[in-house]
Amino acid sequence: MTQNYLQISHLNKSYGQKHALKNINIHVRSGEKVALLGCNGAGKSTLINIITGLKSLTSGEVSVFGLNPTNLSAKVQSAYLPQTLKFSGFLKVKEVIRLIEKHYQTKIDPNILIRLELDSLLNRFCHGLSGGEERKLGLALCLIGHRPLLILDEPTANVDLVAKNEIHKILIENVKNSEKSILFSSHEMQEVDKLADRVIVLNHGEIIAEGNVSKIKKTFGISKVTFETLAASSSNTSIETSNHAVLNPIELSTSTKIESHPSKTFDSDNVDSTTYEVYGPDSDLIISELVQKNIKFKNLIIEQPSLDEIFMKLWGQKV
Amino acid sequence: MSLILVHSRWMILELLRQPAYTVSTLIFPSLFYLIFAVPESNDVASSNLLLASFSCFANFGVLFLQFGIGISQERTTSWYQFLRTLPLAPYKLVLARFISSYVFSLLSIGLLIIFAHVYTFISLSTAQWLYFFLAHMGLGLIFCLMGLTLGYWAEEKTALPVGNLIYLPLTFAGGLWKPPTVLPESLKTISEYLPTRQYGEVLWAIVSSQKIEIEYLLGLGIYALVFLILSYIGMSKDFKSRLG
Repeated sequence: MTQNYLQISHLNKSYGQKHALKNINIHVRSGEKVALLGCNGAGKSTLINIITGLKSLTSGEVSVFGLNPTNLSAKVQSAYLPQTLKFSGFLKVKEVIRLIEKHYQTKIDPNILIRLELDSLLNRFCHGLSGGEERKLGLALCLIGHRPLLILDEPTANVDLVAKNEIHKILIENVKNSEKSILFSSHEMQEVDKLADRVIVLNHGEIIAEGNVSKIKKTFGISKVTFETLAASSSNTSIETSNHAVLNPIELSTSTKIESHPSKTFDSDNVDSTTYEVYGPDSDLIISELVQKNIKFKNLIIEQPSLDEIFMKLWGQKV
Repeated sequence: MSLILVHSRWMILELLRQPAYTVSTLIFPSLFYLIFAVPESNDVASSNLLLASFSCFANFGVLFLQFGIGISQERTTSWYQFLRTLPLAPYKLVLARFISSYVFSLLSIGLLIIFAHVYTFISLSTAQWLYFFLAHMGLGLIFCLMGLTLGYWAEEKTALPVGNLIYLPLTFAGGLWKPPTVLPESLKTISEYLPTRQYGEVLWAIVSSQKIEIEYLLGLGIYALVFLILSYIGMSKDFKSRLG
């Protein structure tokens, strides 16, 4: 049975006249991996700080495991990795780990230390850690105590590619158990595509899109279907494109834009087929229509929209 | 209780590893004692009085600076922000700071006592030692509050220099380096009203088996109240700005 770990209702946060967050409604249930997206200043960190009890709200309601975020019982069940975490420089890595372990009366999984390459840094003072090592240590601390809700503010910022992949694997394994959930913010769409099963897009303190990744892609993204038609497949009149004759112009009701390019054989100037790039919100519908209209095609390539393109579009910027 | 001890342990470790802190709180008072007090400790009376003076100097420095710097760091660093998200009641962190401060305070005073026994004619009865420690620990709370005020009103980078700018002149003008009688005339009048002077007067009375003048205790009480109010205002201001 799914359980509501985090419930935010009609949340507003203002700094004087400036509205940092406007009417935010979010829930995170057990087993969910939710990404919080938005440009710098969109309100992601403010929202996370309110969820972790570090900032107050102006109006609305936030409950973590049904409790106020500052309640110790809520804190026992959640882990938080802030966007910036500089450890006390005069403490050793192992001392920091022991300190956090004491709050959950459990030891860290030594396998996590090995996978995050922290096992060789245990005796190092924290002031000697690189930005990436600090990030990995912060994440390792969040994994102490099997807490059901992980709240991670840009978990892989400053981390190299190899470690980033390992972190993704660890997080995915961690949430395999359906009792755990992750709410994370990120600027990296590949990370979101890989980790999240639901995304919440913030812009100027408001939620402008929410849903699972495929729904977001379908709603806001444009798929690209590329295929080649055979010269003899249709008797339609040719049209001119890029100063070359194009065979078989087609029209599809499921597409928003069609581009066509003539294909020529190496030994002749004759156009013997046409390559089409068909754009539309749903690639499946485009292909169905092609089949329905009995258009013969080969070399079919389907390109789904990237989250990068979608979010640039959502934020009103030109891709 | 165990979490309070866990946090005081890392606070002590962290401070012990900071040369700037250990030099100013442990080495300086001992060094000053060896340079200025030991040569003047010619008999039991002067030895007792000088130990009282320099132990006040040491205790004030430890408690005032540790609270001042510690709290200013607590307000601004991401490490403390992270600690606030742990299942830890905020008062436990404050108590941990009290414990770590008092450990350093005892270490600092302990070093002076060792030097006093080795190099001077120090002689105090058991009751006097008991009052000596009780007075330091009890009156030390005023300097914790003073440190809290500094911590909540100064920024992290300015807390240490500002703290030293307050600490050194106050201890000198309070007659803790040299007896108040040898202070410059202009300072003598002001000295009477300083918390360091009133603190010294209480300890001087204890080590010389004199009656403690009520006016000094009253003066210290007023200071405690003032710093309690100032630190409370600072804390509320900080709390509001931190929570936004």
